[in-house]
Amino acid sequence: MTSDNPRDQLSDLILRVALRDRVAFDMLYGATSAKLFGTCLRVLKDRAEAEEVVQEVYIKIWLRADRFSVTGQSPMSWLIAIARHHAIDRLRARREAAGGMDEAALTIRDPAPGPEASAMAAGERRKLDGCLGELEADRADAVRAAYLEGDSYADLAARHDVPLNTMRTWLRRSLIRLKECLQR
Amino acid sequence: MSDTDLDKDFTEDDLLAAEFVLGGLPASDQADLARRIERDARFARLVADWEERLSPMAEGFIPADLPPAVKRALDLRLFGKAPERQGIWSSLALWRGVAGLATAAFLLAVALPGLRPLPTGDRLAASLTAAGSSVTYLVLYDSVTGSVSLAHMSGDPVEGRDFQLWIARGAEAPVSLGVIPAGVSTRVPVTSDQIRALMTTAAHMAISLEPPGGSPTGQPTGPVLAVGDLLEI
Repeated sequence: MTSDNPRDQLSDLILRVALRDRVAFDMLYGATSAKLFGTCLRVLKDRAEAEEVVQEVYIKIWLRADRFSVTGQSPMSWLIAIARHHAIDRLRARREAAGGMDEAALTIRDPAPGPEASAMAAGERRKLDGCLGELEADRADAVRAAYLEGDSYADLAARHDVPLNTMRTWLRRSLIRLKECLQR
Repeated sequence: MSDTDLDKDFTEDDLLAAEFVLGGLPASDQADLARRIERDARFARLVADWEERLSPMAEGFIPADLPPAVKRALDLRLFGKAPERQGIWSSLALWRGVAGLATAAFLLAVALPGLRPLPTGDRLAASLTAAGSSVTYLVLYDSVTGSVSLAHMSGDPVEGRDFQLWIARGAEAPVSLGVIPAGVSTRVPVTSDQIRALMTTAAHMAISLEPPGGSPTGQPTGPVLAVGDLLEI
């Protein structure tokens, strides 16, 4: 470990994992598994399923660690992206197997993010929250629900009682406005 | 194409990248975009930018402790550290989850009908896959027969290019096992002592896409089509 910066430490670990370093893999697991499990748990809302998916996430990390350096992403956002997308894939497969939307998708949830915050990201967090705040409330909720709960366009269209294409347009416009706002 | 069209394309790609990150598109669209990330570096960069841009929301993912049994199960799946040696097919069931090949044992049996578990000798297996590549092989190495059996699972040959098989230990330079016939099951005899010595669970095997006749440099020059760790079975 060559740095006290947690971001650099995580990057080091991922690069060592790419070299098939199992000690680094264990350390990376120790440092990040609670967060990635929390990610899977929030999307899947099923502990046993999230425990299984988080294993698949670390298998993916082991197999794909060599791609990390080319993305230019921060290590934590790279890891969370793998976990989030994998959990969402599982969520979709589960619903497909159940023959459509499950009931959880139709219940109104509190899309507000949890209280946990790290000092390093607080500024960026405030900025993104501020930009989400510039959107209409229902559209900001839709963006948050898609990101945090893994809601699909179809789920969101049903919840907000708008046609699917309208929901897609909402989200696309919201994303454009978010980007513009963040660049200001 | 006019500049306006280029702008429009860029915006559309940027939006698609944003939508991919949000994850709300139908599963098949998400899968298509995931494949595009693997072969389109510019699109991959747009996606990475959006992952970064939206990542402050990830603070809403509250860390939760995992039971230690999960890490043990993960190690078992990844590294095949089973508590005891088991028969070949039950062991295959342990590692097939690595590649999600639910029918791996069955396919291996079908693809390699001549294969029978022998009473002695070390046997190693690997499931070779790579994200963004359709090429999938199962590898079985038997120290008694000294040959590597390759069961072709999926992926077509590429015209004018050859598949080349490699083995590497850790971060060491890969050693070639030669060009293999693309897209079919095959056996590769291992005659070199150097390669025999490499055949351990510390090594991984890979297939790369090379010019006809194989890599001119002695090291992989083309994209890795499939890779996987050797596991004891």
